[in-house]
Amino acid sequence: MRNTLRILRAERNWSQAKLAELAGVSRQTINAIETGKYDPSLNLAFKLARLFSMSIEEIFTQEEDVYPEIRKQ
Amino acid sequence: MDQKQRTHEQDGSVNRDIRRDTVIGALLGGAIGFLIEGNVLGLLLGILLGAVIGYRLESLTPQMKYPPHLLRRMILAAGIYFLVLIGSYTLISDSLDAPLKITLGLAPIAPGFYLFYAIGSAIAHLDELQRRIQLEAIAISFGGTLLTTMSVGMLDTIGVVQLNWIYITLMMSVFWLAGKLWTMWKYR
Repeated sequence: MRNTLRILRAERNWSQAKLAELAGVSRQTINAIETGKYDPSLNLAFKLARLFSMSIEEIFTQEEDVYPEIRKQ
Repeated sequence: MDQKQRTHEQDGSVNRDIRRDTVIGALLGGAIGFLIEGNVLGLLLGILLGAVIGYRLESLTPQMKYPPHLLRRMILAAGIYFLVLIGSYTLISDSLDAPLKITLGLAPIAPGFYLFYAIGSAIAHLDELQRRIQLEAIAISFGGTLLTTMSVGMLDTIGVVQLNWIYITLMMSVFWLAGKLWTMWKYR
């Protein structure tokens, strides 16, 4: 899963530690999400989306369309 | 107070805490190492390991650490468990009656359950990536211990080595620590 977390954070001039504090997680978690090593839980994704006043889909996107059949319906 | 001065004071406080925890870790580690091994090598290894753990603990951010009251409960539970385990291991002898031997042999189960509960509730308070790291570390520990005990058990059966069950706990702890270090490095 890809995400724009690093860009959004940079736009607001927030450090990883600041975002981590706002989201109530460790800096390591934010770093792992930004580098694509870890996909957040739905709960954390919602929390991050709320912090940036955006929807989850605007921040997180799948690298490839894994459900083309469903999208066709 | 300007930002620079505040940051400097905060850094100073962190450094003092790191020094304090490193010293406490080294002292505790040295004492445990000496108690287990009973020689200078045990003492030195204990000091080294304790100092590393103490330094590492204080370097973590709050979300990566167990809440202090849960950490204290976990240490207390582990202390009680190992005391009861060593006590029952020391007291059991052939001269005792069978019911007393069974009671002594099963005595560590109760503090063992308390230790499970203390560890479980402490892990539940970590942030989601730390819980994932713990889960992967436990899986590595389970697999590593299973493979090692099965292999050593087979060698025990054919009489090449003798398996002492007390080392299984130690083995699980070492595999868990190695698994945790590896998964922490993976998500670094």
